Order: sequence, then C-alpha cells, then structure tokens
Amino acid sequence: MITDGRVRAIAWKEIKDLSRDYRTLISVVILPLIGLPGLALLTGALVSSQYVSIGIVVDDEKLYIGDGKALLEEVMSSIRSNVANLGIQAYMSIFENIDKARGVDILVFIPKGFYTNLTSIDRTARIVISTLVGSPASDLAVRGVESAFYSLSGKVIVNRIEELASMASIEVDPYGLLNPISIQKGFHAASGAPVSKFEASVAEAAKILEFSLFFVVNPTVVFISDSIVGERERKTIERLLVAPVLRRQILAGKMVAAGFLGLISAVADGIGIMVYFMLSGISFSLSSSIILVWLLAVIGLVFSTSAIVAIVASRSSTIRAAQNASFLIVMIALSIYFAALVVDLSKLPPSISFILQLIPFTHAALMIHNYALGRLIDAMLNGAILALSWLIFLYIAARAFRSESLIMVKT
Amino acid sequence: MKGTDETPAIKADGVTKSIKKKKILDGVSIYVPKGSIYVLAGPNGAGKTTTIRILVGLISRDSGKVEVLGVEPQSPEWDKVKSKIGYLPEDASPYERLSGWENLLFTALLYADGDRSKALNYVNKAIEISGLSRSDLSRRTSSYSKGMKRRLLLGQVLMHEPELVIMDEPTSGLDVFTAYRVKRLIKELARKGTTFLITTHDMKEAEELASRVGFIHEGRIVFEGEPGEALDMYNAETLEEAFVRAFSRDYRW
Repeated sequence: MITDGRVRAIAWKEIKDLSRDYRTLISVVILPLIGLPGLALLTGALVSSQYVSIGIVVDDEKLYIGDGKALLEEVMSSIRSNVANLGIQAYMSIFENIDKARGVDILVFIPKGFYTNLTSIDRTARIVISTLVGSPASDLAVRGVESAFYSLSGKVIVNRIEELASMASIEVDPYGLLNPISIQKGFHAASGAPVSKFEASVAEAAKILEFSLFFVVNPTVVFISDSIVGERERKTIERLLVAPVLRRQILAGKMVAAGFLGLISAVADGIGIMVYFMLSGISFSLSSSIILVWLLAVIGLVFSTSAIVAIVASRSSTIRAAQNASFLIVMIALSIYFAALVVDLSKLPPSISFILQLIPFTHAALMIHNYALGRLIDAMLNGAILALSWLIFLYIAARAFRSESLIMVKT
Repeated sequence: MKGTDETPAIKADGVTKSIKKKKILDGVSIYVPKGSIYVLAGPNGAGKTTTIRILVGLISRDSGKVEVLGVEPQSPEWDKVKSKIGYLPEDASPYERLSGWENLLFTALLYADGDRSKALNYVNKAIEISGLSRSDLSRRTSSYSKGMKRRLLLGQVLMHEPELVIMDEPTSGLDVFTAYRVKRLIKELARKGTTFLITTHDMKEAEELASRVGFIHEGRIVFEGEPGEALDMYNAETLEEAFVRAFSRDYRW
C-alpha cells in the first residue's frame, strides 16, 4: 500500500538535495537578505559622502557691509545647514562677479538692489539659481538652497506685515493673515471608522509588503524547476518513477520541499526588502496581524507558484529551459507587485481589474492591501481565490506530471 | 540455471511503439520465465531501452499485450507490483548532492513505505550488496567513481529483494573488477530464484549469464530461446557468432 510515508521521504530527500545547492541558496536567500540592506547602507553611505560646490555671486555691494553682511551670513548659514540635513556636504564660496564662479555645481546670483528691494515694504528682491545638469547631488542640494531663501522670504513677509500694521495702527497676527485656512489631517478605514496614525502607517507599509511578494516568486521558480527538471538532467527520474510511489506523491513531496524552502527564502527576502526600505529612510510601521496576513499570502503564493512552475517544468527539457519559460511568470509577478507600490490595485477600471483578477499573484497582493484598508471580507475572498487557484493549478500539474512526458520530453 | 516456472515473470506479445512517427518497436514478443536470466541483446538503437521502459511502466505501448508479474504495466493494479521490481536504467545516477548513505536511505524509505526500521534493514542489505565502506557511504556521491556509483545503485535496486530485476546494460562502462562483481551477484541471486531481464550488446556477457536470450533488431525480435537453441539455429559455436549471423542475412562463413 502506498501512503504518505513516501511523500515525507521525497520531501526529506528534496530538502536535503536543494539545500545543498549552495550557489542557488546564496543567490535566492543570502543575497537578498544581506545584499538588499547592504545596498541600502552603501547607497546611504555614498549619498552622505557626496559634496557640492555652491558659488554665491554677490553683485549687491550692500551685502558686504553692516546689516546686509549679517543677512548674507545668515542666508549662507541656513543654506549650509539645509544642505547638510539632506546628507550632502556643501562647499560655499562668495564671488564678486560671475566669471569667477564658473564650474560650481550650484550658482546663486544676487544682483544689485537685492538688499534695497528686500527691505522695502512692497518690492520683489530677485535672485537667480542655476544648477549643474545631470548631477543628482546638485538636484538634491538645490532644494536646501531654495529652502533657505523661502525661509528668508517668510521672515521678510512677517516683518512687512508688522510694519504695515504699525503704520495703520492696527493689531494684526501675521501668521493668521498668511494662513487663513488651517488643515488638520486624519485617516479613516474603508468602514468610515477613524484610524490612528500608527494604523495609517501600517497601511502604508502594506505597499512594501505587497512589493516584497515579488521576492517570493523567484526562489520558488528556482527550487521547483531544479526539483523536477533536475531529476531528468541528473538521470535520477527513471528510478524514481519506477519506485513504488504514485506520481501525485512525488509531486506532493517536491512541492512540500520547494514550498518549505521557498517560504524560508521568502521570509529572508521579505526581511531584506523591509530593512532596505528602512535603511533608505522610508519609515513605516508593522503590526503582528499584518505580518500574519503577509505570511498567509506568502504561503498561498509559494504553493500557487510551485503548481504553475511544475506544469512548465514537466514539459521542459532542461532546468535552464524551465527557468526561461518561468521567467514570463516572474515578469508578470514583478509587474503586479511593482505596480502595487505606486497604484491602488483595488481602484482600477473594471476592464483592467478583471484581467488582473485572473492572475493569482494579484490576489496575494490584494489580500494584504484589503486587510490593511480594513476590508476583511475582501481580504478573505482574495485568500480563498488564491487557495482555489492553487488547487486548480495543482490538478493541472498532476495531469502534466506523466512519466512518459517526463522522460521523453521534446528537446 | 534455476528451474523455470510455467507462469512467466514477463510476457509481452506483439508490442508496438512509435515515437515522433518513427516506429521503434514493431511487434515485440518476449517470454521471461520466473527464475531465469533473460538477456535481451541487440545493437544500439534496436529498441532494447524502449522495450524495457514499456515493461516497467514508464512509457505506454501503442498496441500489443504485456504482463509483468501477472499485471499489466500502467494499469490501476500496477502500483502494487512496483515494490516487487528492481530497475536499473543504463545511464542512471545517484543523487549527487546526497551522501551514499542518504541515497540508500531514501530508496529504502520509498520501498519500506516510510517504515524506518524496515528501511534500515534495507539499507544494511544494500551496504552488503554494494560492498562500499562506511567512509565511502558518508561522502557525497558526486565524489564517487563510475564503478562506485554503479555499486551503490545496484544496492538500491536489490535492497528490497525484488522478484524481478530489470537492468539496462548493467556492466556498461565498468572496470573489470566491478563488472565481475555485478555478474557474480546476478548469477547468485538467480540461483536463489530472482528473475533477471538484462539488456546488453556485449555477447560474451550474454553467453556468461543467459539462461534465455532474445535478439532484437530494428524493433523486432529475430530470435528467442535458450542459448543452445541459438547456437543450433545459426550453426554457431558462440553466442557472439550466432548474434552476428542473426543480424547479417547475407553473411557466409
């Protein structure tokens, strides 16, 4: 009699076999787990080691003396501080004419009459800021320069209002005058119930969790391709098929093993991608319930992907051919999960939504998305569709996993 | 030779098989009595491997009847027969990322249906058959020589004491010592009642082992019977000579 002791035996063998393929393990588990945070740290380190040269061409002689000089020093100090806050070092120099300032990354030109216009009651003091093209550091640093002048502009407006109020002998609150509308932001769930800032942050984190699902698909493709086509390539398939074990038991054992290893990879890669975002300065919060939903989505996705790839692998002549054919699957998954970062998948037009809903990968992302938005029923429905799609693909995979097609595959 | 039984271990009648519209088997009929060593001999591409694959249920036939240990391969009852068969394909290999011992344990668990103590008995039997040392068995099989791999596979094929053993070119590419060991084992087990179906294109090996031979050529059995009958039929002194004459219609000595 054939029982599940054989499924266990196959799963045991597969886990041993696949886990000793160190190159694959390194590429699908270790690299994302260490590589992604490492990439974020490296990028952060490189960004913070950037520097820009800022040249301030002062054509207004009033900025070299008295209050004008103090104002210029205040602006420069503000620029330096703002740019430093952006993680970039600024090297600033003052030039008397524009010809001497050639070659700087950011050029700030302060023309004649700037100080007079700025300290008047109603004139505009103009400046020119020019940025070196094709320099990401300059693009970022120029925001700090602009911010310093916006800050100065704000102070000047307050001074002007106070001066006008004094001239008119009236009491005016400059801040109230400048901000007649005050906006207080809040969040609510799909049910309409108010949502705390933490819960809103968790909902934002859901996007990252949805994106991390891409890293679930890839290792599963690698493991199941190796597990099925590898048997043929390594000339072990015939003996296995002749052994007293049913084809569906072989498939089940292989899927359990690939699913188990895929799950470990997925968790490792998921941690890697979250650490990457954290180290990249994107703050988000996670709750234990959203992590649980993510894990359920990962499990559903691992097994659905296993079944889909098993169909492809059963018809492929080599591991490379199986992985190439599965590349299309990976690309579909990548497209969906990348879109989930920037698009609300539940708010698309019906024609697009219908097509996306036919793809099981979409439901894994929507499961997390709907749960994060408080749509529990929808999230459960997505989970059920994901499980159903797994069963359908499993059935097709079991039909495709025929000994004749496995040993006499077209090349 | 062990006395033959009237119920055959294998009976195939008029088996045909085409692959990609090319006829590979054209009415193959073979009869393998229980306890015999049947050598299916033929040149490369004659249809030996396809015949064997049909007999072990790996591929289907287009027409004809087949019974192996009384059951039709690929029929619903076939799974019950699988544990009574030992099969060694020509280019089989062990799992190279597993140690020799792990390979043996995996096969043993399949044949013992997950029963670990029964499986360990099978493993011990396989170790005895293979003659591999404990240190050899603890190493990954990727480091094994071809002969060591074949000995390990032989242990796996015979560990559960099958009634019927089907081997495709069992000594192909082996060194003299390993080939001798394999042949001695086959003869020893046949004496105890195990039935063997072996393919080969080495007629000296066939002469040494066979209690019954079948000559296959271009998907057809051109002769089947006892080695002595082959010598008589082709007026030959050796099986090799009979083989050559069987396949060379215009050949004259």
